[in-house]
Amino acid sequence: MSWFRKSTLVLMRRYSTGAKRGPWESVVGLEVHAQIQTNSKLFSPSSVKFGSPVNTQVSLFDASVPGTLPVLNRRCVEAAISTALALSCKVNMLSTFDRKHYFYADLPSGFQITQQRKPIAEYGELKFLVMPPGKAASYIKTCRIRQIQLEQDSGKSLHDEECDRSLIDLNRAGIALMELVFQPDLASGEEAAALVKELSLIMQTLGVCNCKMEEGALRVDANISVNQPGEGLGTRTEVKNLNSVRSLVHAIEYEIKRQIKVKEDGGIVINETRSYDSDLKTTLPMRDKEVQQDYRFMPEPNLPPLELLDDPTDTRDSITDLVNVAKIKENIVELPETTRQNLINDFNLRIETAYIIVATPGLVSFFLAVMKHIPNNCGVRAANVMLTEVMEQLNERNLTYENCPLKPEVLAEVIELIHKLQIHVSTAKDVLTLLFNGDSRTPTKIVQDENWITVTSDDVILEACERILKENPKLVENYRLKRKSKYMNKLIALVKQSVEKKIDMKKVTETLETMIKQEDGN
Amino acid sequence: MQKRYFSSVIKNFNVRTHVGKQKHYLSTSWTLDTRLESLSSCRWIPRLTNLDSFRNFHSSLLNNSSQDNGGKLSSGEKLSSDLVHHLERTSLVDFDSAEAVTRLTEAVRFADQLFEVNTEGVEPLVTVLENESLYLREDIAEQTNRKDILKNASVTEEDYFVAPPGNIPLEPTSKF
Repeated sequence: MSWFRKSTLVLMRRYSTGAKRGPWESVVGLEVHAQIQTNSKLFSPSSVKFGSPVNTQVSLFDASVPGTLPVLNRRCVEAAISTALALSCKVNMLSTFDRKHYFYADLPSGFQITQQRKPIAEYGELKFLVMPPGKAASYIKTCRIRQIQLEQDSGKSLHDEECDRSLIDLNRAGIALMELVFQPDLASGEEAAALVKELSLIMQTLGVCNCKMEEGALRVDANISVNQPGEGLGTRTEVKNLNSVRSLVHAIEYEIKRQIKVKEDGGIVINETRSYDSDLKTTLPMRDKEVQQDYRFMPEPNLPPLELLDDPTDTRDSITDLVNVAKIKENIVELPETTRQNLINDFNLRIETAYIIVATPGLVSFFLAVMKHIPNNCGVRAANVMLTEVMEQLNERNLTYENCPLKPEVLAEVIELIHKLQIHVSTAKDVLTLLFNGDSRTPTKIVQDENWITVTSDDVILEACERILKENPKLVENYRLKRKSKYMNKLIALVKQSVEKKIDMKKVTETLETMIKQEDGN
Repeated sequence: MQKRYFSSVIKNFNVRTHVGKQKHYLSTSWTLDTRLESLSSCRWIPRLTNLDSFRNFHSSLLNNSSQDNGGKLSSGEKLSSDLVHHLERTSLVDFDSAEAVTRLTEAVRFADQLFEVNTEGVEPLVTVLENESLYLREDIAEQTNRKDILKNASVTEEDYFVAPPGNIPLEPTSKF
């Protein structure tokens, strides 16, 4: 993270002061490959479990044995349609498949079946919140989607350099991918990361992709260029092999800096494919892709066009091989954006808080369960406690909200105690520790037993404050002259010590300040 | 079906090229049909798909005069050496002699007659099954057997297929 912050600072300085030619604009476009969550592959019935023994989920079709034919998996079509609908795309009622030729040993047929001429969906958009690190304000960004297409994954090659050969595992060959092509509407690594996070959340909510980047279930390629304002887009480079959000951010920021340097030094950016090295944190040209590829696209002769229905009253989908878009639309689950809007409207949460809640696994349902027991105006307080104090307890125990041992009604009680000012947040932390350690008493009983109820009575506080001010004239004098908060903090600490029970510290601070001011006035 | 045949031809060439490191030549014993077929897979698709970027890529490989001609070769015109190298590289077929290139040029010109057919406003027919709906399979996984899959592989290692280290590019030659 620190590396990234530093680099952004350097970049921003560059942007603001600029070289002789003025600030550079950076343009980033993403292509995302998402493995569709299925039981079987796109065109064959072999299974798709991650990490299976080598070559154990390969059918004759996946190995391109002559005479085998592709048979499309219905689930993949449905997954692509629900994703397209969630991203406000236009679903094509007729889409077609094409062959894209590559020459690699892990693609035994010599071509990939994809959708080039007429993809299953086009022209959508994705809205997301960008929260830059540091103090910069967060903002909403929209990125347009050019198309969504169904295509096959390739197998995996292990390069055995010692023996000068490749070892081929075809388990991945033919797994269903959804490729999402985004328009180059982004300007930085941060925006790209925010897009990928929001897209992952949507696809996980829909259940179409588990989005585990570390397993290669979600892979991102980034196209990057820089140009002077007013000029056309610069020559782009493509960075591949981005297998984490972190490397996506680093690779894009590095590549923007590199291209600016090349151009400022009078060089020319070459249109090339580069790979990202996460150890060196740099991008390097891929030797393999030096020559421009000729994919020799051609229509896939073994697959007739894919036709869809879009009418909720049409029943042909139950008896024929047609997928009904209208029925998928009816059954689509609540999307993250709707959940966030509900949280904001019902509980008055800040948009950033809503984003974090929705992005935390299991938290939305837990939060809503807690809120059933307490009034809606406790929402902000409840969200804060759940995102800080409760989260701390969970992290310490390596738990998440999906397996939180605390019952929602118990946490609701704790939050209510805070809300009614009966306990302070710092006390709540102690109560939560006891509860997480298996204390079976109710929160109210705990604070009573432990004598943790905050004293709010004015008399006690007034008396204590007066006494401490009298006993420490030197501190009061220092605070009055220097107005330094350390003297005030010392006074507050003394008041806290002198009272055995928990007291409302906010009230103490206020009381002390008014008392000193009054004396000033005298 | 014909296209499928062509891709398997390329595949065989590739495998043998890798294994024996020997080159294969477009010999005169090839029938005209075979050659036309191989060329058509490169040349008619841009017309079918109407993709500008694709067409541009191809016409950039043709020389200038043919570019004005929408990718067609006029009589007496020759294929640029860039295009010949490109075809050699993608097909892994070595044209070897000036005679083979002449034959290739003739074949291209022969196939160019197709462009004379007026296809204005006609939707290209990709498959005769285009009025059929595509059969969809339910998402049910079936067991596969590694033994079956590896049975035909000539070299394996710890259940992996063994392949040459990468693509062996065809070195450009200028024998013609």
